[in-house]
Amino acid sequence: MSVPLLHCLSREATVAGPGFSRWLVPPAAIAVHMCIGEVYGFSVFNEPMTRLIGGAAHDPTRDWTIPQVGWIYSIALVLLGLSAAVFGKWVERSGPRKTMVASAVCFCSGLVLSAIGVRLHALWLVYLGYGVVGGIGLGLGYIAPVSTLMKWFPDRPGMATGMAIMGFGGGALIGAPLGVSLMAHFKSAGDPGVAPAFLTMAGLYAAWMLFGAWLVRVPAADWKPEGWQPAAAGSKAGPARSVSVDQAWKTPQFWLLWLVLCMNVSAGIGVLGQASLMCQDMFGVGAAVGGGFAGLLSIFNMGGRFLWSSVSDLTGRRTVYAIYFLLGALLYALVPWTQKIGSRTLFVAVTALIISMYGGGFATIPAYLRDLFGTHQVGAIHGRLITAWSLAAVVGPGLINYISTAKKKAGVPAAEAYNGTLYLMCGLLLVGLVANLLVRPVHPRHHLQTIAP
Amino acid sequence: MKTVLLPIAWILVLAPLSWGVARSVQRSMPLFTGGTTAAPEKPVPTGPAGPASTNRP
Repeated sequence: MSVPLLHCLSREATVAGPGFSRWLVPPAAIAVHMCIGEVYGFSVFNEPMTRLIGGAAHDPTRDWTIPQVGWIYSIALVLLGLSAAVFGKWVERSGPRKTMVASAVCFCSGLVLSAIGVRLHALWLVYLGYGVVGGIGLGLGYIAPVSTLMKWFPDRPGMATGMAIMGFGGGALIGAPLGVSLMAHFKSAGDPGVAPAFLTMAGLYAAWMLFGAWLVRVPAADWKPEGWQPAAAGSKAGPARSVSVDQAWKTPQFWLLWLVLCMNVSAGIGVLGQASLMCQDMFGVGAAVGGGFAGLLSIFNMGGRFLWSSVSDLTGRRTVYAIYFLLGALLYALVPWTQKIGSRTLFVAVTALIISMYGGGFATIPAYLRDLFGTHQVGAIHGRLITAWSLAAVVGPGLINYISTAKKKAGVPAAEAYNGTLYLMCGLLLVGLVANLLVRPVHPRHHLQTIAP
Repeated sequence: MKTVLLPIAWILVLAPLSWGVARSVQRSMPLFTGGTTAAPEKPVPTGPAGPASTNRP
C-alpha cells in the first residue's frame, strides 16, 4: 500500500505526459508559496497569545509575554534558512511533489502542534511546532518549485520564479486577515480563539498545498517550449553549463550574489519593518495612516516580485540589479527631501518604488543563479543563498532601529531622525552595486562534466 | 478535464490572493483619506520578531 503511494510522490511519477500545459505549474507553486508566506502574518497571534490565561486582560504572573511569543516567529525563520540550505540537495533529488508534500506535512503539523501547545499552555510545544517543525516546512516549500519552474520556462525564467515568490509575498496579505477573522469567529469569554484558528488554518493550508503537490509536474528530459530554440550553453543569452551545489559555493560568483541579496534585502527590510512608525514620525500622521502606509507597501512588495523579475528576462539579470541598486540609492537619498518639502504623496510614491525593487530582488535571484550555475541544482544553490536573507533580517531592522532611536534620544526631531539611516541604506545599495558589477561567468573548471539523471 | 483544470487552478490561487490584496487596499485607505494630526499612539507589541512584519523573502 505504502509503496504505490511513495512511488506517486517520486520525481519519475511526476514527469508530464504529452499535452500537459506548463501554465499549470505556476499555480501549483503559488499554492504552496502563498500558504507558507503566512509566516509573515503570524504576528497577529502574538498579542492574543499573551491573554490565554487571563482572558480579556493579560495575567502578568502566568501568561506568556510578547518577547516570549515573538521567538516563535524568529525560530521559524531561522529554521527556514537552515532547512533550505541543508535539504537543498534532497529537494533536487526527490523532485517537487515529494518536497511539497513534506512541506505541507511539516507546516500543517506544526500548526496542529502549536494548537495543542496553546491549549495546554506549553510554550515549548509552540516553539517546537510552529518554530521548528513548521520552519522546516517553510524552507522545503520555499525552494521546492524553483528549479521546476525554470525548467518549464527556460524562455522566461525570471517571470516564472517571480510568480511563485510573489505568492510568498501575498501569503502575509492572506494569512494576517485570515488569522484575525478566525480568532474573531472562535473567541469566547476567556478564550481569544487562537487554538481553533491554528487548527482551521492547518486544514485550509493542507488542502491548498496538497493541491499544489498534486498539480505539479516536471518536464520530460527532451521537452522544450514550442518554437523555442535554446541558446548555446554558457552563451550570453543562455544558461550556464551546470555547476553542482557543493562546487557553486566555492566560486566567487556565489559569494558576490550572496552580498547582492544581503545588501538589497538589508536596505528594504530596514524601511519595511519601520514603515508605519517612519511615516508617523516624518509627517506627524496618526497610527491609522501609518498602518495604511505599511499595507500599501505590502502590495508593492508583492507586485514588484512579479514585475521586476519579468523585466529581468528582457534586460538581463545584471542590468536589473544595477537598476535596483542605482535607482534605489537615488530614491533613498530623496526620502529626506520629501519630508523637508512636506509632500506625503511623493514620500509614498518613492518608498513604494523602493519596496517594489526590494521584492524584485528576492524574485530575480533564482534566475540569476540559473544564468550562472545552470538548472541542475539551482534549487539547492538557492537554498544556501537564502542565508544572506537571514543575516539581512537582523542587520536591516537593527540599523534603522538603533540609529533612529539614538538620534531621537540625542534630541534630533523625530521627523529628521531617519535621515542618517536612509543615507546609510544608500551606502549599502552602492556596496551591492559594486558586487553586482563584479559578477562574471563561472570559470569552466567548476562545470560538471557529466550530469547524473 | 485538462481544459477545465487550467482556469480552475488559476482561480484557486488568484481568488485568495485577490482577497488579501483587497483587504490590504482597504487597510491603506486612511493613508489617502486620513488627516495629518497624530492620534495618541497605542504601544506596538514587539518581540524579537519586531512589529507585524512585512519583511518577507
